Amino acid sequence: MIAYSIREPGFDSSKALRIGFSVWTRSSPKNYLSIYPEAAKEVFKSTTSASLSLCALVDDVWPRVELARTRDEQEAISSCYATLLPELGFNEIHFVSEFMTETVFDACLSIATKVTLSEFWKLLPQSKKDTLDDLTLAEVIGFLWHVHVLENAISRYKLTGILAGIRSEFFYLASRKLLPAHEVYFVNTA
Amino acid sequence: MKRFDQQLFARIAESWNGIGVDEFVGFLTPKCQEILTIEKLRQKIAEQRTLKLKFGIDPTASEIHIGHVVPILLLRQFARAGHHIDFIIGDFTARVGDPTARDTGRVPLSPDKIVQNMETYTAQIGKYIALQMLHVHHNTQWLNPMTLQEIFAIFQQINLSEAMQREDFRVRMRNEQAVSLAEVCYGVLMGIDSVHLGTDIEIGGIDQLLNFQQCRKIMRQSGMDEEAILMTSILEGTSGDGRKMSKSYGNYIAVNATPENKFGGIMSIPDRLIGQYFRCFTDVHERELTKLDEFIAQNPLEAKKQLATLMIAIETKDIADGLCERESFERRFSQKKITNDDCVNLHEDGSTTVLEALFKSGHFKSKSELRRLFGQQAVRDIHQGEEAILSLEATVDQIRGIVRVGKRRFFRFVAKEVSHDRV
Repeated sequence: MIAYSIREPGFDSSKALRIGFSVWTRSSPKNYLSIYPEAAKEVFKSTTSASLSLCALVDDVWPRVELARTRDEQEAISSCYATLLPELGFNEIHFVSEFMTETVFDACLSIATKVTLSEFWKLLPQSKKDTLDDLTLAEVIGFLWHVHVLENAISRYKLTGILAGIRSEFFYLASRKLLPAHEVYFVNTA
Repeated sequence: MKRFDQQLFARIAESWNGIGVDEFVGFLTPKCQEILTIEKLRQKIAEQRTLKLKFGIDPTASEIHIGHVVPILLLRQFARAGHHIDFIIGDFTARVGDPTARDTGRVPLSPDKIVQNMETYTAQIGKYIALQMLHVHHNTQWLNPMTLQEIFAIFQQINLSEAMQREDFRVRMRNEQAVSLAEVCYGVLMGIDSVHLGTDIEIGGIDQLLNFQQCRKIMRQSGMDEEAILMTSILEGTSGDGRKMSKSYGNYIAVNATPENKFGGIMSIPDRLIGQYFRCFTDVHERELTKLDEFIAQNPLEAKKQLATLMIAIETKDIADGLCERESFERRFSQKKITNDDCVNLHEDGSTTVLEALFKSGHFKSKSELRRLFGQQAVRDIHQGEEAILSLEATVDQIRGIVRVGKRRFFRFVAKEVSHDRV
């Protein structure tokens, strides 16, 4: 289930595992999300850690901005996540709107100074590269926002690692150098 | 007919309130390499209202040279016609770094460094424009509080491929040099500044063309009348090798240079640059350019002296200062009369080499620099109007008159006082 992981040098595998999983509320939650709690258990078994907490980071801000949803529309979708995720085995549910402000230009631009255009191009999925003419600079802002959310979440919720789908591999590899120390576990979702 | 220096100096004090469109545009165009678009500029001026001008700088350097002053002089022309000048201190954008004409990325600045640079910068431009004419803004004022929704709405208007295809970015990427995502966003940030301020006309260097195009696009897509843009040419350096004026090329005249060095710097430019410098630094009108160019062609030395006179007078607001500097220059060079005031006195033993003595004077960075000047036959002994080239081996006791280094530095060797202890 775990395709591969990136371990933090000097990581104490006996300490409490706090693993984050970021999900965008682009549409209603799908059942495939159940694969992540299972993957987290697999990670847990490979350590001598005494406890595991799986924290869902539910982004209810970006999809609302990108898809121009009203607050009510977003609320309706977000509530589905609030119901489903605990049932699937997530221990903590954190909505991004609860811990992020929306005035983040400064922070996003600071991150943008540390990422090159080539690195950004590399992390775009092929499907987006194929339709380059339709892509706008909002894509860049989306990337910066997402990194900024993870940056905040890792510090705020003391996450030791991140669980991610293998299809988001390039995003997590590119953002790793920008974030506080953490481990990454790529889940084979194919 | 009046001399150009007198005629153009008299113009500095003129008020241009209520000036006609053709007359005003005729004063603006000599300073511009490109205008986006001339029709838009004329349309805005013809509206006969107070126009909002924008000029932005990233406070990336503290000391500026006269090349940086050209857009300021253009701004001053608008101020004299009664228009409103928004002067943007890019404290937000400075942290991003303007990618314009860079072959490598810029190091973002700290807030303290920005404040420090700005103080030095404004002190320098204050010589050319009354600072009270400027409405100073820091773009953090409106960029920091922007919400994600507002940012998204603007960035959505610019195509990613368009941003990636900028020629300067392509060259850097081809050379495997990094282009940061922040640099990709730079032009958009400038556009947000213009939208926020409701800018009518923006002023900047021609090297900003790609950023300005993004600015206009963002204004258009935000439902505003797009700004007109006046782009000044990039001033060529004094050495005449075709490179732009730059501290790193050593071909510059610093705004803070002494009047003597400024005058001398202008006198050192090649003749083919006299016309460009006249256009950039004076209020010459388009209809006067033919006569000016004829004058330059007929008497380049006199034209250069008048230009240098004006350069001093523009700064001090007194043509007498320029004329005084001219007189001093002519005395030293044309008539080869050098007074004690022109010289640095050096006290050295007769057996010391001139090279060693000059190096010890502290006026030269290194002995290598001096060796180069000796090699270029630029170190001479001037005695009774005659010049003798000095060799590297020349000693102080061989000097008969005054030592001139390059065009403008003079040294007099004064006998060392004999110490009584040793008698």
